[in-house]
Amino acid sequence: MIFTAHNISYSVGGTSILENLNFSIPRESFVTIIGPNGAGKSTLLKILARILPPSQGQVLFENTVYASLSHKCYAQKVSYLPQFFSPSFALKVTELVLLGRYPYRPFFGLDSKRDYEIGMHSLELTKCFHLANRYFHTLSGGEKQRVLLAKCLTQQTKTLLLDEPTTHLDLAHKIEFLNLLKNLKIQFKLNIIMTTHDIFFMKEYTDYFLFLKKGNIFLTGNKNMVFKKENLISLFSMSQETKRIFLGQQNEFDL
Amino acid sequence: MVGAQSGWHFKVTLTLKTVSHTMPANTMKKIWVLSTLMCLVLGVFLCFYPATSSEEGPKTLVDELDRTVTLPDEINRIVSLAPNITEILFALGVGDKIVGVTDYSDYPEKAKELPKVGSFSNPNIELVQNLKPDLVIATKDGNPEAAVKKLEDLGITTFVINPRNFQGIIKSIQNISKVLAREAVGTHITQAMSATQTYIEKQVSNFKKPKVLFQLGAKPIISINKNTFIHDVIEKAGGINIASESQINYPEMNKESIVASNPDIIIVATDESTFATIKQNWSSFSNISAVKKKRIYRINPDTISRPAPRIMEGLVELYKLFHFPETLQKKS
Amino acid sequence: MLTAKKLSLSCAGLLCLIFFALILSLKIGAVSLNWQDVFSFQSDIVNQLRLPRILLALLVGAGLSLSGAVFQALLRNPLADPFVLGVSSGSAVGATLSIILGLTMLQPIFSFAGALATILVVLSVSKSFNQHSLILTGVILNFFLASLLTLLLAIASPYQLSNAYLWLLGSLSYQSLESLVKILPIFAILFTFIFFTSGKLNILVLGEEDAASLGLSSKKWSFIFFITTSLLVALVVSISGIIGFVGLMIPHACRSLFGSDYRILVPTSALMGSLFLLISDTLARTVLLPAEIPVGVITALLGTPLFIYFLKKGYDFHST
Repeated sequence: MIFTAHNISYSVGGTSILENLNFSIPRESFVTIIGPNGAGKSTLLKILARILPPSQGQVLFENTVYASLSHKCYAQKVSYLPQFFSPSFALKVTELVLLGRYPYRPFFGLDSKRDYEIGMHSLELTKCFHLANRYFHTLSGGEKQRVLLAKCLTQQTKTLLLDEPTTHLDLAHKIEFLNLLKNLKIQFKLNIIMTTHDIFFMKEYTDYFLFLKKGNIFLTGNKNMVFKKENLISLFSMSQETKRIFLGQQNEFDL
Repeated sequence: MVGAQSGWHFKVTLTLKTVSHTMPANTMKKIWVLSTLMCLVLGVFLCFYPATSSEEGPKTLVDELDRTVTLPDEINRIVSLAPNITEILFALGVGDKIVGVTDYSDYPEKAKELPKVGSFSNPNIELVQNLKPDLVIATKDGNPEAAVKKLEDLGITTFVINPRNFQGIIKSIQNISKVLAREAVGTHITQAMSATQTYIEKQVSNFKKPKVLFQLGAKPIISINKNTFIHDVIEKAGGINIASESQINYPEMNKESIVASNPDIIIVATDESTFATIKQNWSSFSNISAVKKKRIYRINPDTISRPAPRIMEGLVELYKLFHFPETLQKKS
Repeated sequence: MLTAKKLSLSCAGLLCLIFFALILSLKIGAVSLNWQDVFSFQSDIVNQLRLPRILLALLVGAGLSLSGAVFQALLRNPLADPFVLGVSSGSAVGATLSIILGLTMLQPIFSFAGALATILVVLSVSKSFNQHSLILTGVILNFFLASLLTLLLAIASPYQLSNAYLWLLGSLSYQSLESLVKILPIFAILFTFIFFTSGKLNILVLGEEDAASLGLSSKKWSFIFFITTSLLVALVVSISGIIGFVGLMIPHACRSLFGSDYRILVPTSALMGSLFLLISDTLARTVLLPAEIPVGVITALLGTPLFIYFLKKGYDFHST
């Protein structure tokens, strides 16, 4: 198990977002956290990424209480791809990707040749090498996501946490991105954990699902056990009408 | 030098003449006797006072910031860092030794031709240094302290004056005259100033004191409180400054409080064209005594706000404006 | 990619330019000197008047542009400059107070104290230390201190007013080597510290979350950079008054020339700021002799066309 959560809760300003979560996430799996809007998926991911501390409870990373690890050390093991990324200043793709080497740099370090090679290699892996000298903000949505993925790869972490990475991508780019993730996972034996509320095509890529509803674990498990229509209907609290349409779509899209 | 002395003598006499022609005859006689006596005494004093040209100036003096200043043996090149200092130097007869002045050193006429070393709030030390002066005279109210310090660092002898009221002006003139070994002329001037002051003070002790608004500027209306030397001059001229108790040295007056104080006289220190506008602005306030009685007068700012011998002109002018409006023919 | 070679070449190039500007500035001024006077270092004008002023211009220019660059990262805002958090307004109030009280020789101390007080207020008010609360606190403080300043100026006599005016517009005249020696050690320490931690600014500028994901504690380092940079601003402003435009524009010029990486932006902003302020100050004291134009006027007049040039060259200030 790469992550184990014991009674995690998170609340802010009196509002409870996550309540008493207990779960484990298996190694070398493509894990997808699915849930309706407002379920708390992003918050959960941020807690796993150590961006937000849980209000209560403990998270174990590789069987160690993750709070006991130094931030830098953790950053060498876990990387995070945010849902929204808009830097305040113009950044070149190369500069951005090389930022992923920060957890490995000594106090005042310039980039070494090796850092540079790792960065360029990551761009190759994500098929962004030709974008190296472009400014990040001039790229398309799909290109931006792949460059951000390259930054995570430059961080050379075994675990990648991605917050709604495909939500703003069109169909083709979505499939392209998920393919890329899956291949990287296989090639480098990575732990991939992503969140989404978009269920289509997820069964193809995911090994393990975690269904989150209103801050609680609804269901977790292997895809074949969990990814069933009746579970999805309950998870998204579909009305009768929605349910009827959803069930009627069965042949058009193979879930 | 003699010309300068007699010039002052003439001015004093003329002044006394103008103020006295409304006086009853025997008082007039007293004044004439008094002033003639004064001039005689001064003249005798001057004759027996050792000639200034062979005098040796004192080696060290303490200036008005309590700095001990060591004076050079010969002072032939002087830089003045303020217009009033320039006026004092010319009055003391050393105008030809001035090698540099600040902007607005415009009196007397000759001063306008002198080389400029910047403004008095920002004098250019490079230019001062390049003129290789034997002495620089500065004033505390206006010249930046840092500039004086810079001059000290460069080893340039600097004497600082700090005239805060009428008496202070007299003191500054005396101090500068000591520095330049021109005590005789200095005393002549200051005694004339004191004499005038004493005379006027004595006269006004019998007069009713009008309420005066002293105005600098058209918009907003800035006046002065009792911490300024303009106030000192107004008091000596026998007026009551309506802004004297203000907490701020140069307060902005609001029109309502002026109406409430109801001044008898409004004195405006400005140039002629601005004065016309200001007078116009006041015309609608007919419930103010000064406006009703058409007692809004202009005074040359340089004679009232510069701590120099011409302050005497300012004093006398105010005295006339306060107490003898009838003597003013064409003052509009 | 940022290499040591690129870093050292850029800095060396700027240092050469500074050297030439320095030599030229020693020569020209209100009084014409020839080359012999300059290099013999015998002349009082050179030693006592021009040299201290030039050295201080270099120091102040470096301090202003460096702090501008850091604040732009800290607040994630390309419009940030050294004065946006109110430190300079506090300084201005302190300096004006010293003028009104007639204690002008203590002016640097008063203005530094004013700046420190402002820093403390920001620290106590803006507990969460993120960019929003910092900017908001800074804006409010600026408003408040500006009205306080106006009040003080209303009380001042006309002479005090013109003294205050000179300070507010920024001035390097009447400086002595003394003041330089006093601030140099602290300045050097602060500058060295910021130089060696400049890499963290690259991460800080990404935002709290992304910084955390790379292992940088945003809150801790925001605090550290805020304190050190504000102290730098306080130090510099207490000597020279408020000289605008340098802290805002020079970092952008350097970004356009050298890239956004703070490891090169920090030293080059500092050096370019020095160069820019030196040239501006020399112009300020020679262009309209015998008067001296306040140096803040020159920085704005020179800086604006330069700024427009960089804009036209296609430099993008904001990515979105």
